[in-house]
Amino acid sequence: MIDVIMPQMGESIVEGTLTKWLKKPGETIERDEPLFEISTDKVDTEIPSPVAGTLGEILVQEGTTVGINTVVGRINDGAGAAGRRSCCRPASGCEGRCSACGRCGPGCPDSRDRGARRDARGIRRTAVAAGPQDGA
Amino acid sequence: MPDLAIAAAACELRELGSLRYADAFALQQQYVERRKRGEIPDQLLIVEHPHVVTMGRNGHDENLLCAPEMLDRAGIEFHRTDRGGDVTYHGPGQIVGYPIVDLREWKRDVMAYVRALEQVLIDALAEFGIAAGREAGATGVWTGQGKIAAIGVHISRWVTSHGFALNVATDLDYFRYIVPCGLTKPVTSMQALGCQADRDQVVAAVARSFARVFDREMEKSREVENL
Repeated sequence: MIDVIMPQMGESIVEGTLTKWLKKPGETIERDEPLFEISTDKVDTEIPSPVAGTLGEILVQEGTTVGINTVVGRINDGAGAAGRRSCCRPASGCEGRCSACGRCGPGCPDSRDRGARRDARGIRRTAVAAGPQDGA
Repeated sequence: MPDLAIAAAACELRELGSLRYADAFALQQQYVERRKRGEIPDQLLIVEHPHVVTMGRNGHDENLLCAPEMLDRAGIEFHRTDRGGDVTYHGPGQIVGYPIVDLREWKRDVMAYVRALEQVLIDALAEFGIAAGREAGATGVWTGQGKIAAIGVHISRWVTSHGFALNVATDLDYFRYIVPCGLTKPVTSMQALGCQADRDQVVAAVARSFARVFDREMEKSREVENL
């Protein structure tokens, strides 16, 4: 299971409102497919799924405001229960070490997974992401 | 010596005239997809909408002061849309700007983006002698007589859509159908503030200001590309 977190969409942002889940639990989702929408002030943002799998559970309901890095749901990526993973990709530096695994996200300058930093395909680099072993 | 100065990134300015909300929305989607694929530079689409009331994703129905059917009878379209913010009105006399910007090539910060859009309009209004600014907790551009521009944004993979609406010579009576942005504060326009600038002048000022704030080189392109 992969934890999906409330991403940080900018330096001054400490929380966000989950406005809409675009998938239901049990539905399959592709990596990078929009998974949920968040709202901060006048901005709505689509958040893509960090991995392919099925949406396991929803932990934060629509309309709820939660702090950044809060786990909002889990995706079953078929990797089994061993080693639930969660990785955050902090916007700058590596202050945002993942609370679940203690590791830096692939967007972090200290990350061992240098290859991931070249993956400039968008929001995932600073928002939500799977661990490096997912090929991110 | 090679020229080491780094040129500002390009932004295509497209003045699309009067366009129905749904058509402008579809057009934005196409530009967003092409921007995501890196096929086009940033875009600043400028349109004017026929009368329309739109409700953002986190809008509250109570801020719509009449039933959608009544809007229909008054010749006003109604759309629920995927931008941030509550309810707003667009219509003739308003400059609606839809910047399609890849924030990865600017700043990955959605609030900085919103503040920058406000700055674009504040600076443009200053060219016409209108003192405008921000109000804490109320995104948009404000004057002493009320709100003069509204902002609502959608972001997908760091590419922006939707944007801003600046009241140039808007018939402010149309705002009586809604509680704009859920705020019980007055709205105003450049014309209501005594400014008789014409639309083209204001569009030009907004484009100049946009180029300055976002450090973009504006390239004017009137026609809509064959998407």
